[in-house]
Amino acid sequence: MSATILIVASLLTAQGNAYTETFTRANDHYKTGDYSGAIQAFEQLVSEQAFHAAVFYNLGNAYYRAGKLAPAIANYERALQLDPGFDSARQNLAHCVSETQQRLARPLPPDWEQSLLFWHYHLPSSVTRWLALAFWLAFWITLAIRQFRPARYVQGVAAVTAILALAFGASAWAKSSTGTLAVAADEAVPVRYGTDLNQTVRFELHEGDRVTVDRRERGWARVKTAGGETGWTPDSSLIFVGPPYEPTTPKSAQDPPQSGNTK
Amino acid sequence: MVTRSFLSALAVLAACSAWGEPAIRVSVEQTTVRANNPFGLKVEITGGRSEAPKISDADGLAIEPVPVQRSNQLSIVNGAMSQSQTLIYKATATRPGKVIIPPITARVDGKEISSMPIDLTVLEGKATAPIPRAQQPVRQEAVQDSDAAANAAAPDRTPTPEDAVLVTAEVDKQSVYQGEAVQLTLSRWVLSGVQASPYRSADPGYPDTEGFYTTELEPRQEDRTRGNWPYHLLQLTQKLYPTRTGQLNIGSWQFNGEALMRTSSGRLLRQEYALATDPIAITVKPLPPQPPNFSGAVGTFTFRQSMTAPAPKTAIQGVPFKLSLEVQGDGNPDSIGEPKLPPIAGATVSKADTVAPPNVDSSTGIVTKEFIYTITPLESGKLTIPPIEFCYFDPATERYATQVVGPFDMDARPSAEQAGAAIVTKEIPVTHGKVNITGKDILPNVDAPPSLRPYRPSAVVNITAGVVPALAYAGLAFMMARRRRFEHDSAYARSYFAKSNAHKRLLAVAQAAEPAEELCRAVTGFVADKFNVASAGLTSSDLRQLLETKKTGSELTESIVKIVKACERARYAAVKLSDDEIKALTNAADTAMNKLESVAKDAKV
Repeated sequence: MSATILIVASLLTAQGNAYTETFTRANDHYKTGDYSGAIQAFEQLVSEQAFHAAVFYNLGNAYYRAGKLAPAIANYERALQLDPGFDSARQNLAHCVSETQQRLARPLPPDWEQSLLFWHYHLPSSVTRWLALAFWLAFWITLAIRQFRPARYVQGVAAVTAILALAFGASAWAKSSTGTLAVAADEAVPVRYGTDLNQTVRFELHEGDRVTVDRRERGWARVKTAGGETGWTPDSSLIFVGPPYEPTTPKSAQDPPQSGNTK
Repeated sequence: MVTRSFLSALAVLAACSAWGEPAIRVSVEQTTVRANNPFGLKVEITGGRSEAPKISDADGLAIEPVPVQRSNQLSIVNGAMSQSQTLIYKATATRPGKVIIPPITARVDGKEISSMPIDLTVLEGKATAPIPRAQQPVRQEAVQDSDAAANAAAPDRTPTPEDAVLVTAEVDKQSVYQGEAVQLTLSRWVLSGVQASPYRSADPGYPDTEGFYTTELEPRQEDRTRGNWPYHLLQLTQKLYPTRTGQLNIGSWQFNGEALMRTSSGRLLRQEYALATDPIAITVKPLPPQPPNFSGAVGTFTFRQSMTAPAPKTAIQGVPFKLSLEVQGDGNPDSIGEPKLPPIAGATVSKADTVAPPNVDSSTGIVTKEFIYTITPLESGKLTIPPIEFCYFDPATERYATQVVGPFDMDARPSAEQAGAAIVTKEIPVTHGKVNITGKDILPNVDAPPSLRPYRPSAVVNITAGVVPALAYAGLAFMMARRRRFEHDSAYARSYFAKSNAHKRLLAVAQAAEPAEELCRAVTGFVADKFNVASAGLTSSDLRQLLETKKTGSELTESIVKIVKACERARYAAVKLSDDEIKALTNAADTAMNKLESVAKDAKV
């Protein structure tokens, strides 16, 4: 048993070392101005599921230096998803947004929701996960204490820990679920009334504009801007921030989706 | 004095078709008319294909050479086919006195035929004031004259097949500006009781209107009296917007079909019709020199605005909101251009997005066109949308008119995102909360983090983390519950621990000074614990009674009683039990206690 644990631990350490080596190599590419090399190396880390705010942040920097605004914004958003307190990512994101044509704000939930669920919007997902686990354990420990000391305050503590465990658990689950944020990948992304290329263009997105996607079908995505405008656009012209986190190569070169009739 | 000079056309027609001879007949509704009052002059040509008759003015009589109504009829009566053409001309007597309508000549199938002259008595005409231009009816041709002719019909005249189906076309004006609306009304009158249906399709269609942008209004059907006869009227209306200047023509509107009607003798008559209205010429004038802000709209319009901002007069920096400008009026929807939105300081404005297609009211033809602009405030603070103009040409006043909405003052609040950015960029000065002032360049890369590991959320780990504490707590809770029961339920505790206590006593029997007594205490103690009775003074007969009460079985009862009796005898006997006897009794007691344990467990004693 202990041998197995040792083997697994050593494998994980070796893998961690390999990731660190790739990360360092990618940074070296970046320092020498080889931004495509840096992008390739950081994207390799992403494809190997080495999801870390630092990886996405540096990848965003490499994309920005390579002149690709949309994937840069998408990766900064990912970095902030994993670590909302990552100030450098927030600042670089704001810088990139200032270079977009429309400077559209990120679609955000209402202020009251952000205030009420502050832990969800301001804590990294790893912290949320650990807090959920800690409060879960605390809840059961409090219940065990109650067996020996059935005082009223112990019941209160148990109730509070249960609520906190549920709150952080729900937050962790929501953070790991499919994300709805997407970034326009092309210089001009027409958003139409329906899932048909013949449909009238309702408005246009520009590279780097962030939208939420509330529905996807047959290669089309229904997007909503911060101003509440909605419409359909081919999902190949969007970069989905995630999760799940996938390589952020723009897909605009792909074939247009088939037409549909959904409104 | 009114004299009836209108002969029975039906009889003539029937006679002509029977004989197959061409004939021409000229008639007027009244032979006494007033000077300068137009009246209808009806020319009927039967018996073959005819050319247009030669119409010429006479002394005291002016006849317009172009008929105001023309109808062709093809009828089959008892298998015999006949063709007839009816034309109505506008005639006006120019002086009082006796006036003669001269013979009218027509060529039918190459044969020239002439009508008989008609004497008219012309009375002095009533003096009429000149009609001012603005009130003057713009359209005179087809309907007015045909109406005049129809209204002049004698009330007691029997309607003829020519009266059964009529078509008219009228416009509300014949001289318009380019883009100005012309209303074309097409009417099909079918005499009540007559069943008329067009050939091929029930759709009456519209005339050729090349050079016009057209919109169709909702067709109207109603019953109406015309010339004292009841008709069913189908009215089609089109709004025509001339797209070029000069002379434009509205083509003739046709009705090709048949009608079924009853004659005065009660016979069913099937009449074929080939009716057509005359083309209508429209003169289209060019617009006066246009001002620079002219939108292209011609007509009368209203101009409104609405906004979809987050709150009234409030916007959020970086968050777009919509400004909707609505133009409503009677103009050509295609030519209504977007209002020119002036630049807005501190905000970007998108190109106008038109709600397509423009809404056209089907009963009035009023067009509503909406232009939507997306405005994104770049800075927080006061945001002013300058006045927005909409310039159009009003044909009623023959001038360009401009309507204005705004200006609008709004308050642009700082965005939540920008607030966040301002917090994290303490070293970079933030002025006016503008979006693009976060620094000249991005911040550099970070080094490799120490905890760079693959992100593999494990279901096993998650389930373990979630379930193990719950299971551990369940075990603890069970243990604590049993402990509490031992504390509060002595019968349960004695019964639960009876066997272990008895087993300890049995082990001590061999080393005891009085093994028989110790064995007896072990057995009676076990039974007493098991059934929660006092063990002191418990004899073999007490045990028998107790076990029989508890229905443990006669065999088991006997074996336990025997063991206890053997111990009782040994206690008072002179010779003590040997070690083998003690061992045998101990084994028997162990077996009996095991049996009693299982029996008590099964019976839940």
